[in-house]
Amino acid sequence: MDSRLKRIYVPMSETAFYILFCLQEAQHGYSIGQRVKEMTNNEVIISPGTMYGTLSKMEKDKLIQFMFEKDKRKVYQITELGLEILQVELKRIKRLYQNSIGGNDFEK
Amino acid sequence: MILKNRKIKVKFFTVADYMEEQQWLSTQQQKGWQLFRIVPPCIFIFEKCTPQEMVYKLEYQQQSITEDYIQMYQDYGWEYCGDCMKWQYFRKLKKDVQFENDAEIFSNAQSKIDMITSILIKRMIPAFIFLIGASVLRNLYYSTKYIWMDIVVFVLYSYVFIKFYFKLKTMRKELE
Repeated sequence: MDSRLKRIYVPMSETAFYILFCLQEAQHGYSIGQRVKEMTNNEVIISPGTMYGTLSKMEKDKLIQFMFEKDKRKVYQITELGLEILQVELKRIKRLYQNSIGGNDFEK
Repeated sequence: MILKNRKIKVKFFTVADYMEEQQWLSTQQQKGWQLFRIVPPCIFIFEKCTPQEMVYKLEYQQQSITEDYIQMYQDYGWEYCGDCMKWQYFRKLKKDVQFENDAEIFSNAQSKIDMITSILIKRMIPAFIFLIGASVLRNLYYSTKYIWMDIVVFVLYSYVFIKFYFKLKTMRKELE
């Protein structure tokens, strides 16, 4: 993986993580926001400026790709590269969690 | 000047004062005047409305404004009320704000910093270079009679630049 991408996306901010995670399923920015609100019980709210900016950046970095536009809403989906980075991040989070609950053996 | 149900106010906000500008627009709405249109650089046209609590937010958007950009904000409950020199103006009724972050257009410090950095790099620095360049050329090839004007402009500009830079620094500290 590109070292520049590693520097930017590992570790990932909560916002970036949830956006990338949700985009395993193709959807548009507002629906991602709604989904994240549901998933986190309204604790993580991604505002439109942040959402639009992050989606633009991720598209430029080829973590997500533009699929189509419907009713003036752009639908995106995660790319192979995006999935790769997501897996790295998920592994890191799992390890963090395992260690936080007192486990020393983490999944390899 | 009041024309029927319209009012014109002239107020100058620098790029570093966008938060004050947001607050000022909110205050006008509370007094019963809603933003109708902005004529650059500092003319605000208001129209009479019922006084209400409205949140105003500004975003500096360097890229051209597309339909999906406006649609996204609309989905989130923001009304697009115009633009002025790459600044996009949005508003939302306070009573429609359910959670604190619903009253913001940036939900994390990083995106706020990105916007400020973008202003610094894409507007302030190029403008600064242009001002210096124009001044140097004029003094070199025309006359140095008006160099005092250049100095005044330079000082004013530096003031905005420094104010802005400190705002950026404070935001960066918040992130850390």
